[in-house]
Amino acid sequence: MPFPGGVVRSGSKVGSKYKALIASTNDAYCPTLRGLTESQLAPDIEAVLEIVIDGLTAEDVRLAMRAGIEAVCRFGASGGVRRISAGNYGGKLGKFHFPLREIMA
Amino acid sequence: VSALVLTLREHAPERLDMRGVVPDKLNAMSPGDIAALILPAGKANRRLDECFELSGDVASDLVLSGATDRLDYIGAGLSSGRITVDGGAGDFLANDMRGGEIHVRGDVGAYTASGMRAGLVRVEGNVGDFLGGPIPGARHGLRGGTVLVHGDAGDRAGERQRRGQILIKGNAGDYLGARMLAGTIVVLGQAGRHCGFAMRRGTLLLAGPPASLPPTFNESGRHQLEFLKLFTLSWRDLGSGFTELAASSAGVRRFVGDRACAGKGEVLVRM
Repeated sequence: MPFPGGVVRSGSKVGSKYKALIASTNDAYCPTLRGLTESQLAPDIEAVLEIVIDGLTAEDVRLAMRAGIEAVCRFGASGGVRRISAGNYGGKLGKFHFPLREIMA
Repeated sequence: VSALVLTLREHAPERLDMRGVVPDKLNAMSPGDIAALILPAGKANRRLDECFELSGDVASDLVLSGATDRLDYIGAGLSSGRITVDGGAGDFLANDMRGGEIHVRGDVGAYTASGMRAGLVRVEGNVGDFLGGPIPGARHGLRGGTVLVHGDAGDRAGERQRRGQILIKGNAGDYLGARMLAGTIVVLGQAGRHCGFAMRRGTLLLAGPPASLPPTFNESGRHQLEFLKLFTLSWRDLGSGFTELAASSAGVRRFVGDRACAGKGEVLVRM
């Protein structure tokens, strides 16, 4: 999918309220839609960036995630970073799971 | 060669219906035909030259001099050319307008730009109620084009608006954008109570908090919207302070609603 630089502003979720659409805006994590849906965002969060990682092996993905998280954390809370999470959309995205605490251990 | 100037001879005793006195129609008529145009005035019909003194010849640039709030339907159905109203105007200004430009130097009555589809209306004074609102029985109010008001607007501005933009430099009354379908309304002054009541889609951009929002609006966070900078830039030729709206670095608070109906509208309040 064409995500420039691998960073997605307005991330997507699997599925949609429309049958033909395989992906749609991840409304629970969308800052501009929080008045309309069950939002997962705290009031102080103004932007959510989704970072897409494609890998040939699970180990590659794990290493990439670790490198990415370390890079983001260097900005620190004062740099505006509030929270990092990952999701598998309830298994709809495949069998792979990458628990962040295990990756960073 | 000079603009066609119609100067009101006396304060009209009845309301004058100015439908048909638009540049695109006058262009195709001889001076004699223009003078003989019939204007409905209450129960009577009056010839145009009975009510107005005519001078000049270029009908694509029409000037109404000494105009008052007794003149209804100025610029109704206008599709090209320019009308300058030196004075005030009555109700239904720019009704069903399709293009061209209307410039009013004074105040304007109710139902301004109702059903308008394209073009530019600029009012230097205040406008009455139902600016860009639907005439009774109509499904839509403003349907396109730009309306710029330097003064204040009355109640229910932008009611049933479908497209286009209304820019109000002064204050707006109650029920701003009520039952709005789509389009944009900008208010630099104070907006009144029940702002955005039953709006389905569309954007209200306010320089400060309205007097009240319906309880069926939800707060949706604070945002720095890059889009707003581009959007306000599009008004730079209109002057009058609208481009500075996005200059504030604080961003906007976004409210979504009206959740009592479709609820895809938004009220953006500058912080």
